[in-house]
Amino acid sequence: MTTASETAALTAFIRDRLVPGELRDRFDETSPLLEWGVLDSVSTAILLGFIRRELRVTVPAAQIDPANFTDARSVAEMVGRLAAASPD
Amino acid sequence: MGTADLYISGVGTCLPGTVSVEQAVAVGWYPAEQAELHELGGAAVAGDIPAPELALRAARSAMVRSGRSPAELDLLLYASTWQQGPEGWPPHAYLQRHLALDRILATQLRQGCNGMFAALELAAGYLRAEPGRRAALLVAADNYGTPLADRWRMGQSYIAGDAGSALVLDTEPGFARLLSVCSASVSAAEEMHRAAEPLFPPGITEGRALDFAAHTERYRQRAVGDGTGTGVLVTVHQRLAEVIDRSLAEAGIAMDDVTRVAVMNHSRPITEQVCEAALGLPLSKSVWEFGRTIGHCGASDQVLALEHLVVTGELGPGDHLLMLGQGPGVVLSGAVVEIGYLPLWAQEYSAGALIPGNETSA
Repeated sequence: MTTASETAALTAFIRDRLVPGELRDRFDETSPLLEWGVLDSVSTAILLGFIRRELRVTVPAAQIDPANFTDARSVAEMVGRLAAASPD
Repeated sequence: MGTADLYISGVGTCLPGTVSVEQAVAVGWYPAEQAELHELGGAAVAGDIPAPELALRAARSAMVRSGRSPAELDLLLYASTWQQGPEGWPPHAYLQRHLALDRILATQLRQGCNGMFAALELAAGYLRAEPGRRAALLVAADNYGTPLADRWRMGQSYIAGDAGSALVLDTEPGFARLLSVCSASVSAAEEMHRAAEPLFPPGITEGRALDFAAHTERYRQRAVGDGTGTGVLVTVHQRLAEVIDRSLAEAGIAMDDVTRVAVMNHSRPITEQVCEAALGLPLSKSVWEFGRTIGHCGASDQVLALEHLVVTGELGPGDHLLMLGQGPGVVLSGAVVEIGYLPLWAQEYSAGALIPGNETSA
């Protein structure tokens, strides 16, 4: 999967599953996930589960850094890096 | 901390009867929409049995099962999350008095729902510090059926249950081995459990109720409103992942070796997400089906799970239980227990002769 398709998949998942209804219309891949409060304890787990299940990437502890979760694009870039480094 | 030289020689619980979610919804204690969302089954309710009495009954059971006499214990640690009795009175003294433990170090631990992990880690160090120390009695107990606590609404994704739990950590071989225990914190998130009220005067002195749901919601609103953001909650997940990695590494096992995992008794969606996201394991590896019936029992969930899995035969010789905890602070802990053999009391339970925790309770 390319970074572009990862970005699209992650943006769609976050918008549909995690973003509050009143913010959905203006949500895109550069919307701030942390400043908007989109990611909290539960939604971060849901997002990590989606990445593991649908994108086949396990995010190691060192990468679960707020800097990698600033927006959907940064999450996709992290996933792309991890996928590229994976022996599979 | 790797702890393969330490064993669990006895475990005991005192688990009262339960009130179902259906009953609670019917009388208006628990919102129907929450019942549908969280899929919880009920909560253990102790009525007017004091928490220290729950602790004492669990401790007696654990001691009988361990085969240790009071004279062979070197430490008593008592973990609790809520009021135990008259303010200023130490509940561990109740156990010292009734179990003849006056000659040993005893103290209370207030680390929220993570308290049993702190007890394990402190006891491991204490037992190793002096040659000749033999065993430590670790207990946890809470009864939330008090004024200023609403078990059905105090948390966003759980119902609070009442229970006592105890285990004997031993330097001599027991039915299980404690392979590792470790902890870490994200203190930047400490406000999450106090955000809805001032630090002074302390809430309890002004009659404010225990309400983690309100604190969490206020914390989130403030983080979004002032632009701080919720990055610290991502860090909590990072720290949890680190604790899991450490627990397994120090135990010398891999995730594939984990037979079951015991986390706090939260809602199905939360437990499912924690299992999948943090562990890559299905919900069926957790103890959720048991936990959903008794509620989140303070610092006792994981010991209750251990006993349940052993007496029901869901854990057997060679199996590994990964226990994960979290408490206000935010503190996160992990521990790995390896089952050595099926103890006699578990065999008796399996044969229908015993009810867990009731062998010695009056």
